[in-house]
Amino acid sequence: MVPAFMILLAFLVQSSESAIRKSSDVSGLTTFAFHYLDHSGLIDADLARRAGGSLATDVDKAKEDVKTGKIRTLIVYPSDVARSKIQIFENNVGLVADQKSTALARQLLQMSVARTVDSPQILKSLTASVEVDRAGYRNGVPDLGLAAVAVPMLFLFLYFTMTIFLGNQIIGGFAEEREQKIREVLFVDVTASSVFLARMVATTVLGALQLAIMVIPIVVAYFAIGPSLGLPLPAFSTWVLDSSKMLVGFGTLLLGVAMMIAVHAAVGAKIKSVREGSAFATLFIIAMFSPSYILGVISENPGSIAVQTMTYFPLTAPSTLLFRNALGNISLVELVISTTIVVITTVVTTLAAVRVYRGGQALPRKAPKS
Amino acid sequence: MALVKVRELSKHYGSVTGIEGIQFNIDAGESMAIVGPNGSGKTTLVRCLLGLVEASEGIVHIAGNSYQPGDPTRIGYLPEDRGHFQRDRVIDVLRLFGTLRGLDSRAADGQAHEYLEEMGLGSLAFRPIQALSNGQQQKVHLGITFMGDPDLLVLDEPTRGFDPVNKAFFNKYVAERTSRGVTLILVTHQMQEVDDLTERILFLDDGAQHYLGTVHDAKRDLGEIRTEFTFLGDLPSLINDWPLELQGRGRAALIHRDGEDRMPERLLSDLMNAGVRVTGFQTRSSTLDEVFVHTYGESMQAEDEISR
Repeated sequence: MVPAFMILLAFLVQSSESAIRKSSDVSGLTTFAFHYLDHSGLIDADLARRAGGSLATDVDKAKEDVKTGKIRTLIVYPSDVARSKIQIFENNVGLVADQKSTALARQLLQMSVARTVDSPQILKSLTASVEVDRAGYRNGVPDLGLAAVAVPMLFLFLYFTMTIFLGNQIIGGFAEEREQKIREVLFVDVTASSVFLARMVATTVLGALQLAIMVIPIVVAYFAIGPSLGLPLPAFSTWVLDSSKMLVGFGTLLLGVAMMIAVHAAVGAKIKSVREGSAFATLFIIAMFSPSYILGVISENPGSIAVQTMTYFPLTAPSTLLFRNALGNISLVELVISTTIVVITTVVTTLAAVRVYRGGQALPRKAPKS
Repeated sequence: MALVKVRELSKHYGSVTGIEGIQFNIDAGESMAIVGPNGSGKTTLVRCLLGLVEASEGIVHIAGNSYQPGDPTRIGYLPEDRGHFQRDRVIDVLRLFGTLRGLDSRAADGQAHEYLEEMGLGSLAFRPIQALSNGQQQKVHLGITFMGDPDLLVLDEPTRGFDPVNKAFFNKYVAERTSRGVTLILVTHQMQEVDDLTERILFLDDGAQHYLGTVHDAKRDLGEIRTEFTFLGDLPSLINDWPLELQGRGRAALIHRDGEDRMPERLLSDLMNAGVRVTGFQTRSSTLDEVFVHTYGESMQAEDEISR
């Protein structure tokens, strides 16, 4: 339902955007019906006409017509545009009407003046459209900036999205089972460990599937109709595909999601209600996002105590690793130690969670002490 | 061979004793009730039997082993704290438990429909459980218990929430299964159910085994013999030597232990000799309700007073 709704919404937005774009001419000048008075003598009458403008002769009458609604917009250019303001009188219709006429008034003046300049160099300098070519270096090699971090950062984005989505599903599932008091009956037919692990795996798989069903149509729709909507699209051609960063990113994503699922499941095994669980989930999310708050320090001073702590603290390690992997400032030793901590945390948490989940249930074939 | 074997079973929760030194056997096809006041350890005992909690000491064997899910002995357990997958459909939940107990999906489906028809819930099979009334949900829960034709039924207060008609129907349903050789462990406060459904009874008191025997023996050993009679006029003073309990005008009873020197015959003889016009005279054993009150009444009253 959600993807279908998003696609429908995108089409609606697209159709209304198309209607708006019809009010621009080929030169990029906003066009709509307006009246203007030019005391400066700078406005190109031909350009003004193409933009939908009509020259007014009597300013007082034109202002009165605006008030009564006969004229929608009146733009009055002062004799000295350097010292005085352009005046706009307008019969407001929509929320953005003011911005539209203001933009038009400025555009018309700029384009009219530009037509009078003969030198392309002066014109380009004045319109601030001179292009810049910058070369950056990091650690002695060319640094490609955002293009180099885009792909590794995708793993971070996936980590955040999957953890939030799956974490909520897992806690909700366990809490529901507890609230509905169905564990005892289940545990007579299936061991608690089996139920726990099956629930973890099933919820993860179903959650990932739900996430894919929601996200894929949106992504496809974005790329399919985004350009026609004027949405910014990533410059894929500039993206750098660094295999080592992608490998580390992918591995960290899997380990991080596994650990967060285990942590959420451990909480789910203990809590008595969804409400109780959501408090824990919020804590985990804060911990997960906390490296973002010190992103500046992570990028410029990875050896600082704060960054080192977050690199090795289990709940913050995956996102810190993913940030540092994207920025290219993590060493192999740090990577190995941190991922080892994440793996150990996952295993220990899962074992503890199973124990909590089964309560005092007797272990298989362990006869009571006699 | 005993299907259920319990020896010196104890469960402690820290310094609190759940149960202590329980031991009994239940043969295959036998039925036994576990009774006792609230907090006497009934549910703890059942949980230890099924491996839901680990016993502190003792032996619990079902068909020769500590019970584990997946064992050949199939158990239908109705816990005291029962719940459902509220949003799932009735038929799906019944199927699930059928397959968990080894039925293939077609057999589970057939058995689930059969049960629902028998219980008058056929039309509700595809409704979510949360759309059902409490009584209907209770029947679904019992259905879960019976799915897969368990060899051993462990029912904790099975008729809680049932009206008398459904109680009678349920008792008949369980009795049919026990007559086919299904073993039954019944935990209840409904003494009539014990009388109707079980042969043996275990009385628990404060976690300890107070009495174990047949229902008949329990009435004899823990209860009393009540000789009740009705009469016209007044009782002569001569009869005052008898420890009679007057129960309103023209009604009296003699309460005594079984086998106490032919007391009913002697009482009737004395009444006749004293010229009392006896209009009715009967001797009967205590009901299980009376046995329960007789067994636990004093200690429960004492606890109430202490808690006040």
